[in-house]
Amino acid sequence: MVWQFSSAGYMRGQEARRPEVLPQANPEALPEVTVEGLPPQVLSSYELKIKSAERKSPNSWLLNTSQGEYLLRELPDQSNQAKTIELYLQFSEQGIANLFPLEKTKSGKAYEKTEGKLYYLTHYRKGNFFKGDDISHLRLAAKNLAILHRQTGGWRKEQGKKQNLWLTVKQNRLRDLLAYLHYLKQNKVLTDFERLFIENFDFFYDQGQESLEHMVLAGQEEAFIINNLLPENITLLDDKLVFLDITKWNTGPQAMDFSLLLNSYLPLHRWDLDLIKDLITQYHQENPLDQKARHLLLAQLRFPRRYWLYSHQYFSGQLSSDELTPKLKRYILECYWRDICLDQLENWLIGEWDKNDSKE
Amino acid sequence: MIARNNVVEFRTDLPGYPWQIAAGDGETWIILRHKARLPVTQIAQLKNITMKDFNWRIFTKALSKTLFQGTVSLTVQYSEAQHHGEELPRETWVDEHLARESFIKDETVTGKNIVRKDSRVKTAFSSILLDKNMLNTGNESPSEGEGIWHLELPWQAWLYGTGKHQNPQVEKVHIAQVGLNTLLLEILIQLTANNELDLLNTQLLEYGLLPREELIFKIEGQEIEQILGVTVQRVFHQPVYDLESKKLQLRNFKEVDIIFISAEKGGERILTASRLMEEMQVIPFWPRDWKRPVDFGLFNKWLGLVKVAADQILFQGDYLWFVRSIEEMGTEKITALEEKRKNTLVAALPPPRKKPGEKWLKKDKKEQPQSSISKKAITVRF
Repeated sequence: MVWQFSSAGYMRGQEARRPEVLPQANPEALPEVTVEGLPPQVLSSYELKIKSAERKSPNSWLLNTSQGEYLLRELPDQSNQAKTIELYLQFSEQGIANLFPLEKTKSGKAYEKTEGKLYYLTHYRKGNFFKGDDISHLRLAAKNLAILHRQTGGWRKEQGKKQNLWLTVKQNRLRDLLAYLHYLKQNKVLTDFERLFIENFDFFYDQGQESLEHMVLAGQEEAFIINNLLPENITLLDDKLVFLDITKWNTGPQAMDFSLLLNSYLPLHRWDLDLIKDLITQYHQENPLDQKARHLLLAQLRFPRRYWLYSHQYFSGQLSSDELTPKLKRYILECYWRDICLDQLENWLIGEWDKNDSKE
Repeated sequence: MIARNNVVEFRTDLPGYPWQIAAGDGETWIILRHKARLPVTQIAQLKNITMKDFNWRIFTKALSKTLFQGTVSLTVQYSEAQHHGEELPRETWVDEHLARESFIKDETVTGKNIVRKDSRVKTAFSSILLDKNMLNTGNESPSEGEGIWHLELPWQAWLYGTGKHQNPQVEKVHIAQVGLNTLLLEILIQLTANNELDLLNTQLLEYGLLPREELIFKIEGQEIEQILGVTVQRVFHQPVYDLESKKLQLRNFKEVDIIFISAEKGGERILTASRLMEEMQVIPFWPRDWKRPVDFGLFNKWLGLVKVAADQILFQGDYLWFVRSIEEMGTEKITALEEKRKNTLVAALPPPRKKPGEKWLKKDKKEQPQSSISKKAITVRF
């Protein structure tokens, strides 16, 4: 079965093609099966003839219908979640290629509200599982993320003045690290996690400071960012990549999303310089990065986020040294490669890039 | 008299870098500490410690103390970690996303909201603790994947007491891995002198043995593996005489330092715990003289330590009290001392500042003009 768009709206990207065939609503179609954990009125609110249903996760169901496969999701009834679904509908109507189209209810609503929950339905087609260690998947991800960013870039509904927020947040997190260090200076060092924390503090703090230096020069307009690039949220369809879930969306500079992709999967490639250059080029071709955005990207790549995370988890008593020491150890070793890679990337992204641009 | 079988609580001293010294009468303990990051990615295992050289000399002697100087050099052999699969990043995206989420959401930290899940010292890093008899002195030959760290550390310390000194000794060497590529080295050196009461230019008038003091020393929050020694130093002696009972009270402060090996691996293990205590001894039937005694005090005749629990030790001390006179100095000696004092330092002072508006005030004709370059001198005597 070929997946098709359910609605045709205004299109900006080449990938957002006008659907040729719309799913035909069948007025006689009624739910024939009951789905475990799902209120019956939810299914009856859609014009679907369900053949079978499968629970994919605690809050999502895969519905096999005569019209094709659909994914039904459950969200808590909160205003921000309702806003998320409305945003999904808006993007769906714009024909955003990297999201499965949203199916409206019989009454034309974006979601069904019942028993303190919100339910929304999207088309679905099973694709290949995204693998971060596969370079072709990463290239595709960089390109498709750029396409999504380009297509959603015009959306400014939530635009606020957050320019200084990201800088302040980073400063606060560096201050957290200092607080942990001072605590250890005043208290007995107990575990190997603390020993590794102290041993590598200077290195990571310097990385944080370098990040702030780029942050001062950085800037990018606030836009929609998907904030969820986990493998289970990405499915590969032919030469296209679809993001299944946007509920973690936020507004912010788009480079935040791209840096999340790079920070998540480049460690698997030992921060290979050629690969990161390639991925940035892929992204830049679809959604150009100006100098400020490039500074932001570098700031995001430089910041020792996981050093902060592990320290935070440790010093807030969430996890023990036994759980965190292997992670921190691997991160330290990873950052040896990362540091070398980013030094060279910085020269390329800030120095050489601008020279090439001026030649063009 | 200090009550017997009392428990005295001690707190472990903060480890000092690059040296820490515990000194008392006739005994000085020097702990040399050094921490360094080696130019390797990761140390897998500590292999061996080899003592290359330990030398010392007496630098100077004062009336009742001797300054020792020396160097100790040794090498530490270690093996480097070969990177296997477990060191490679795994599921980094999960933590990256979690970090992104809590980065903005979570509150900023203050010292007050820090909580640690672990409450005991523990480590998986390797360490070696060697006694002086177990130290290698030969040459090491590192094989492939091994490295050698060479160190040469200078030291100096005073040894208090007039008794004949013994040769300084390296008592313990401890090396520990305290990070991926950070090593911590601790060397314990002991200086000792024979236990003799200093009688230089003095005459012992009265003395006696006090009842044995027995105390339990408890080192808070510390598990002791081995007790190495104890030093006692007394200061601020103050005698009080009770005319009715004819008893002399000798009051002073004493600082007790305990040198021990901690059972907790993973950091500094050669540690000291110290405490300043008030001490008072009553000398009964102090005789005859209406004058304040010229010199008096206590002398450590014997000090002993026995570990009685994981964090407790039994301390036993025998002390000798003494009152002594000082020999009268001959006229020649006094003259020689006076001569010495003439070697004084003259310090020039800057000219005094004029009062505000002074130069516009009318001057008395009879008044002698003051030279602006006149100087005052003070004499500082040593």
